[in-house]
Amino acid sequence: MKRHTLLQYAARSLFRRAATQRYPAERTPTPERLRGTLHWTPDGCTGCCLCSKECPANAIEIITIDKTTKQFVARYHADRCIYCGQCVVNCRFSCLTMSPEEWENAALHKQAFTVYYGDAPHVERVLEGFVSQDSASNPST
Amino acid sequence: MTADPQTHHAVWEGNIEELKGLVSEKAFTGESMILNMGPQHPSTHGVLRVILELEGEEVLSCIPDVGFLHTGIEKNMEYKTYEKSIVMTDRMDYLNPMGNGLVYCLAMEKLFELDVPMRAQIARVVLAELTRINSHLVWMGIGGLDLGVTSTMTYAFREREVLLDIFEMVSGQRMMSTYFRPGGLWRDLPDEFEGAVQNVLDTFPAKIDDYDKIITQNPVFVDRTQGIGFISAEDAVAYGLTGAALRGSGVNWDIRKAMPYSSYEQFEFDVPLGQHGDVYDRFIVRIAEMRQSLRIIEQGMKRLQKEKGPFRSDNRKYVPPPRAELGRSMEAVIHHFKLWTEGFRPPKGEVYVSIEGPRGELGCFLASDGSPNPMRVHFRTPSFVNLSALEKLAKNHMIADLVGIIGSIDIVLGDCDR
Ligand code: SF4
Ligand code: SF4
Repeated sequence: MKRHTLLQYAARSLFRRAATQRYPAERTPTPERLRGTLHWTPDGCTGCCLCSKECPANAIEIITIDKTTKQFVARYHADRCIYCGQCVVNCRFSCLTMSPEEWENAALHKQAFTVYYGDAPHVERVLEGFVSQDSASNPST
Repeated sequence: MTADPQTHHAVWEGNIEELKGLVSEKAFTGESMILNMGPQHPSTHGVLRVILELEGEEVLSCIPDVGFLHTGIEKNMEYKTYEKSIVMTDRMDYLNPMGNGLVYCLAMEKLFELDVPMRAQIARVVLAELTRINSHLVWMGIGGLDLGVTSTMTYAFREREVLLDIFEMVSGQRMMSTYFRPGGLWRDLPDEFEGAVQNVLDTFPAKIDDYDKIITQNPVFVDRTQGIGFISAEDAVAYGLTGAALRGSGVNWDIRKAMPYSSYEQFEFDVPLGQHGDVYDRFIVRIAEMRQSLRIIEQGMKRLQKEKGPFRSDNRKYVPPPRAELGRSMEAVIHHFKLWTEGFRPPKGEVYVSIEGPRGELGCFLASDGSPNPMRVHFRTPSFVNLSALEKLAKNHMIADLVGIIGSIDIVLGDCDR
C-alpha cells in the first residue's frame, strides 16, 4: 500500500486537466491592479516632478519644453523601471497610469526601452536636441 | 583567479595555507581531499560555495562561503527615503517578499510610534501566512527534488501559482509586491480576495496531505533523511538557529507566540515540533507548519469580514492623504507635496523588530538620525545564521547527504547576502 501513493497520484493526474496553459494562444485575464507598462499623458501635467523625485529607480524624467505654457515631455526608461507604481500614486493630476493589459515588454533592442511620451512635435524637438536634455528633476543624469 | 589556457575556464589558485584551522591536518598531508562545491551548483539553492574536505565520500569538514549574491541592499537603503526603500526589501528574500516588507514596516512603525488599524494588521497576518505557505511549497518542491522525489516540484509549483495569483490580485505584482506600507497597506484588499483565499482554504488541506504522503511514505526519501544532519537542542540554540531548523530539534520557540506582533496573539495555532533534530524532522515540521498557516488564514478571513475599518493610519505626518482628499483640502495637498518631495523626518533613535519568517527569525534593525533617509538598516536574516551550523550538521556524513542537509535548513541566498 505504502509504495503506491505516488502511483495513485500519477493515475489520478492522468485524467485531470493540464495545469499549464497554451500561451500565447490562451491567456489568463490579468487583475485590474496589475502594474504593467507605464503611460504618461501631457494633459494636466504641471511639471511638479513629484513622479520623478520619488521614483526609486530614477526611471522617469520630465523634460521641460516651455515652462510658462506648461508643456512637457516625459522620458521613460522601461529598463530601469521596477514597476512599483509609486509615480502613479504621486501624480495629483492623473497623468500617469499603468496598464494592466500590457505586460509583455520584451524587446530585441535596448532603444525600445527608452520611451518618449508627449505631443509629437515636442518629442521631435527633444529627439533632435533642440531642447536641453537635462531635466530639472532628475538626479541620476 | 586566472583562466586555464586550454579550457578557458576560471581556475582558483588558492593557497591551502589559507584554510589552516578550518580543515583538519589531513588535508595538508594529502590524506584528505579539498573539493569545491558551487557556487554554481543546482543543489546549493542559489550561489553558495561550500569548501569540502573529503575522505573518500565522507565529509570531514565543510566551510560555507557566502557573498556571491551580494546585492548591497542594506547600503542602498541608506540612500533612499524610508518609503522608497520598501521596494528594496522585496528583493532580498525573494520567497518571502511580504515578510520582508512586514518586518521593515514594523520597524518603521515602532520608530515613528505609528498606529496600524486592525484591518491592516489582520490582512498582514493573512498575507504573511500565505507567503509562508508559498515559501514552504518552493522549499518542499526543491528539497524533494534534491533527494530524488522529483514529482513534488511540479506539484508544488502548480500550487504556488494559485498563491502568486492572489498576490498579483492584491498588490499588482506576483513577487515584488510592495504591499505593506508604514501605517497599513497600500490599498484595501480587493473584493475578489475573499473568494480566492477561500479556494485556497478549500483545496490546500487535501493537497498538503497528498504531498505529506508522497514524501514521508517514499522509502528512498525516508532512508536518506532519517538520522541525517542531526543537531541537538542545545547545539541548535547555541548556533542561534531559528525557525524549523530549531523546532525540528524540539525547541519550542516561535516569535509569533513568544513576542507576538501584528495581532498574532489573537490567533489560535500550534507550534509543530520535531523530536530527533534530523533532516526528516525538519521536513515534517514544515509540512505541519503549512497546515497551521491555513488555520491562521481561516481565522483571519473570518475576522476580516467583520473588521471593515480603515486600512491605513491617518497620521498625516507619515502617511500620504488618499487621492479623494487631494481635490478637497489644501492641507492634504501640502502634506502630499511635502511627503513626496522630501519624505518625512522621524525622531532620532534605534529600534529592533523581529518576526517569524518562513526560515526563522527575520529581524530588522533601524537607526535614525532624524533625516529623511535611514542612517542604517540591518536585517538579521535566518538564512545567514542558520547556514553557520552547516559544518556541524554535515560532519561525517556522505557528500550525497550534504545536498539534503542544505535543503533542510532552507536557505535563500538572496536573504543570506542581501
Ligand atoms: S507628478 Fe504628474 S503633474 Fe507632476 S510632473 Fe509628474 S506627471 Fe507631471
Ligand atoms: S513605476 Fe516605480 S520605478 Fe517605474 S517609473 Fe514609476 S516610480 Fe519609477
